[in-house]
Amino acid sequence: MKMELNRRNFLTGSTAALGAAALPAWAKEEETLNASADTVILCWMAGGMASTETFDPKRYTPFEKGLKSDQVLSTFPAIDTAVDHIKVCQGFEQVAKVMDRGTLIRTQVGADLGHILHSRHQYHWHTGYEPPLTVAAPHLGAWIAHARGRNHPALPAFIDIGQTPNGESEEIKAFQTGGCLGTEYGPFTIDDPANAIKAVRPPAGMSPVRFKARYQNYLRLLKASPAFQQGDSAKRAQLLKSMDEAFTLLSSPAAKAFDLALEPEKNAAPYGNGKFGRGCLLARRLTEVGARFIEVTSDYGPFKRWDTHENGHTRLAALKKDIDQPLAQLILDLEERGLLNRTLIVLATEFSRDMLVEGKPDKVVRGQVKQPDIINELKFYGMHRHFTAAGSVLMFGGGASRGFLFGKTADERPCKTIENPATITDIHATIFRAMGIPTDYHITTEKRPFYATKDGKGRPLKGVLA
Amino acid sequence: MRIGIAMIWVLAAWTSSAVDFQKDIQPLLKNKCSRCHSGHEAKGGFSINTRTTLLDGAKPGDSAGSLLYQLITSKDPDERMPSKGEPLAAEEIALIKTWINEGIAWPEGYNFANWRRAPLAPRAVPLPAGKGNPIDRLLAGYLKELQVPTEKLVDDRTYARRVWLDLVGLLPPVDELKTFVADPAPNKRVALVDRLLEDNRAYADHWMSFWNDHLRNAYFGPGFIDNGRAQITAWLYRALYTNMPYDQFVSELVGGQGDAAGFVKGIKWRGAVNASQRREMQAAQNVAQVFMGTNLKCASCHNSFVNYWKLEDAYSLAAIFANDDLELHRCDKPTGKPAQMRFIFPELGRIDAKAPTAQRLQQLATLMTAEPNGRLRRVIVNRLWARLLGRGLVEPLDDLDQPAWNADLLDWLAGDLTANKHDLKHTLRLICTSRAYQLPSREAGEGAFVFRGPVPKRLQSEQFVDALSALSGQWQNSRAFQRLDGRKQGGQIGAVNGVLAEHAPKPKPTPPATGKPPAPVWIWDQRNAATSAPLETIYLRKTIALKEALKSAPTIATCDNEFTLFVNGRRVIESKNWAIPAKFDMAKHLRPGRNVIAVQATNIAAGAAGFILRAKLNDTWLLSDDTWLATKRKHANWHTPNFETQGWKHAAISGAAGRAPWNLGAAFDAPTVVGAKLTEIRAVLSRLDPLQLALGRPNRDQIVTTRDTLPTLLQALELTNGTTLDNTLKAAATKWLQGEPNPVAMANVIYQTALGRLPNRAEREIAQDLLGDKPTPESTADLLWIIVMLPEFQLIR
Repeated sequence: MKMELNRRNFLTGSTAALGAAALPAWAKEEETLNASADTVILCWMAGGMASTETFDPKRYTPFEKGLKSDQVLSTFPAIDTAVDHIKVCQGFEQVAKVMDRGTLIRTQVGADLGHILHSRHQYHWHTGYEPPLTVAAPHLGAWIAHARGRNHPALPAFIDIGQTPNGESEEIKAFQTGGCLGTEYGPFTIDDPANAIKAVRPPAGMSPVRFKARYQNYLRLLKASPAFQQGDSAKRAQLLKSMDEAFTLLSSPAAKAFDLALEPEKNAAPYGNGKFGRGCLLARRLTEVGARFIEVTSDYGPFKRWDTHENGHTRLAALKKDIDQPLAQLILDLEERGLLNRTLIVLATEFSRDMLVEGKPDKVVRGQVKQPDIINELKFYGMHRHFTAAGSVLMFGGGASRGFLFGKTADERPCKTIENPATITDIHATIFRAMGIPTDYHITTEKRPFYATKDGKGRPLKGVLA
Repeated sequence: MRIGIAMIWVLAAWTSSAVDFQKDIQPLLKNKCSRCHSGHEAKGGFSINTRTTLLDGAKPGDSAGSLLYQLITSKDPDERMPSKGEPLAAEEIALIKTWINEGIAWPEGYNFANWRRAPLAPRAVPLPAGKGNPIDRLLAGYLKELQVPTEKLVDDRTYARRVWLDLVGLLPPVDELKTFVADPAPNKRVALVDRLLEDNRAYADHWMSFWNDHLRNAYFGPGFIDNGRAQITAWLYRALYTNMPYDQFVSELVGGQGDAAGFVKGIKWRGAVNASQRREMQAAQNVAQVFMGTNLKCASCHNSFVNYWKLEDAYSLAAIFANDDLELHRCDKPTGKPAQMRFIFPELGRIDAKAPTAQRLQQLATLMTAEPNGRLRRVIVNRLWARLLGRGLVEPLDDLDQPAWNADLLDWLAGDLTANKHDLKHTLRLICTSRAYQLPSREAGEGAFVFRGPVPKRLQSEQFVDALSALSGQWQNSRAFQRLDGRKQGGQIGAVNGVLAEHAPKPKPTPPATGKPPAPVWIWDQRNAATSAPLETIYLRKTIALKEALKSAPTIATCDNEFTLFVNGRRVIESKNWAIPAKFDMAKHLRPGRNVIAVQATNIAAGAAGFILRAKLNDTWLLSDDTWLATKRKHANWHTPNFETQGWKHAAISGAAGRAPWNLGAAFDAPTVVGAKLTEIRAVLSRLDPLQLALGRPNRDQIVTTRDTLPTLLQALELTNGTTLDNTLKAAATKWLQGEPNPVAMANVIYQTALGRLPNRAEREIAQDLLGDKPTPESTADLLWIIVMLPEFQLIR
């Protein structure tokens, strides 16, 4: 907890809740914020998405044998978008067309954690805190679930789609959690969107009729038990309530939203058959029913997908095909259904990449990927080192400014932030602000406040919310 | 700075100060500011607790430049302080102004927080006269004074279920319960407690969960990836199995030696960490929290707002654990001040700052466990009391400065533990045989706590899963988790088997079947591959001659990162996880005469690369070594038997299986482990699965001294349609259908097993109705599900 005192945090701090109760105490305070969004969809580009290959195009150098590594900044040419002053890299043609619906932030500045471990930076991005910690920091989605509750009485508030087990699973599990808010606010996880329906229907082999009968018999036996007849107790009442909610969800029409097979083919087709695309389709269906926070991940795996340690160019060309169309379609579908205004879609990644600079510029870091001075093979053509000094984030709908560009990066290596840095704390503050949650929203754990943004000091990025 | 302050003091004295702290300032600050800015409250990061914290918002001698003064005089109502109520009166503002301008006089040591600080020393409490359990004698006065009506003790069934679950974490088996209820002996409850506590294995299995939480011992978790943490599984199981005296238990953990070292080692994922989370700071926080019942976490960053600890206190304890000099960091910024080495309760003794770290830790362990440290004992007896009675004598359990609802009982139990050689089982026995423990359970309710009986507890994750195992006859797989993987994760069942073997009666010596197998080595096509190989794919070959066909050729192999193995040109196996070596049998691909083993090995990122293999071919071994041939070039048909290996060179050896970064010695060097000792593996030794996670088993990244046991929607979903539970119920149904196909008898036994009682008439009728005349796997599984979802099953009343 930082203790620097200034006028601003003195004031914001003074309006914070007493924090004794675990319930959203801020609502009782004089300062209530108007939300511009009711749902957040976080599209997570896991593994480190190189900004100069995606949303921050720099000088383009096509491949040829004998290229000098220090000359290469982008391996894709820039293309126009629906917004005059915003260019993106080739491969994002569909997102380019809807760029006027959102904001592009080019200056995400990551923590400087030294020797890179992706999952550790992902932990930082998702919780706003750097591990290890004495407090189990809640996931962004858990905070939103805690502050705003469910958006549909039967749907879990925080749904996490698409992460499969991998070599850093233990580290990933550490932040896919409700943390100190309690398991109640943790994620409802769906490994594979194609099988999402399994998570919300009766166990395999159990008919709906039997499922219903089982619950009814449960209630009958419950009422017949001597303990029940002795009178109610708080602990028992909580148990019964949770069972009732589970039964309600599993037999609710809302559960149908999880079933991608029910989506008409012509609507489903644009999302493609990729896992990320299916995840976007699922997110759209859940948003229509009433979801609160959904994360759709491109699925992290060491050295897989965005974690390009070689063949960066070739792999990104393929990867963009999995991302571009589904993301654009998600935006257009929500717009068509009148939901985009109240749904904030965020695309983000733990950090960017560069061909030569590892970590922050001017720092020597362990474990750098080897890169020859002269490129003679295609596999060395791409961004293979981890770069934390400027990364791209997209925000669409839910109050995000339309056609807005935030931050500026250098045109020559190192392509670092030169105007308007966006810390992860402030990016979170922006998302919280859109959801009407004060950035000093907190709970009390072990008698001390624990804040939704680090030390309660996040500030929404200027201009990003309309 | 020092001179400046002194001058202002002189000035203040000379002008014969106009304001008096005690008379003018203290009441003003107390009435107008302290609600939000003292004690645990520090709104906006500002606290008036001490002069030091107040100086964050005020400059001595400069009221105009002091934020405090600016805010009380602000014209902007949104910014003016106090934020609630009327602004300060003009006279009050004038007093503050003068006080600041005069240098902010403050009586030495004055603190608005007025923290309660519990005594450290043991306190002898005379036991009230009379007979019976000392706990009840000590509580008699309390219960009388608060007019708590004397309740009848719970019946035998309730007591048996309670004490079984509390002491060994299991449901009482039906036949044992029957015998117990029928037993006319007056002291049978004491006898049951003794019997349960004597079951070392069941006791260790149950209390392992409790201590894994407290010592954050995880079998898998963040940090292992970089050797950034270590398990204490074998040490802990041994300590519990042998009922290690608590002073020795603490001493070995704090001493951080041998297989107890993981506790002090802490957790490091990789890369740079915040100063307050360095290993030695973690050690200080954990030692303070778990053993001393106090929070050093806030004070690891700055002077605490939640208690009396200061930054230098946290660092003074951390310094004992540090191998190098430690510099105080305030909010992650260096202060230039070196940490002074001492325990946070220096009255217990000194630490020799010049001694080597290991010796200092021994000194720390000695002074912490010495008798004058009454607090150490209070903390643990309070934890045990809370675990058994649902609420501590002091709450929160990690803040022993809070008053106990019965200090005599707390102090007496602490002294009694010392008097009984720190035997935790002695304390457990005392509690479980007290009348207090045998009272009907009562929820704590709102308002000030009054003890009226145990507070009902929810079954914890492991208790629930073990109860399911007892119902279904399905326990965890004993073949899993025998060995550590390459990151030194897992292996918990092997560790426990090792401990059981140490204490099992020695079997007759049998001649070893085969000796220790020769060990293979890591190979690659170049030297130094264990540290710096490029991203590449290489090709390996080995030709062997066999006299005859083999019945079996058990093989273990792995590659950092991926390999595909061919025998005589046929693809046999592919593996992509180096940490879990592939085990397979090559026999059917081998033939008499010449055979070729060919391996395509890929390093998917620059860094460590290696391949290792061991196969048993009747009485000879095939091992990876430098007789293998290697190349970087992919030739056509390179993997086929008749390919000419022109231009291939001998593989280079990187070292033994156990070398870093792989640490696979256990898998490749050790002889095959024969037959697990454990048969019924309990949930505590399983991997954290979605069901246990949903039921509140913590991931052990942080210390957990009280679990979150609230029922939640996510938990109920897992219980309603989760695969783990569903599979268990299906297996259980199969078991029950073998035994009692008669629906009435079946309902009776299920009720007895799960709830320790027969169904009443209404229940029996419903159960019969549900099961039908001929119970099916489905109807049986449904009844079982219903029973385990009942609050009566899930609560310990």
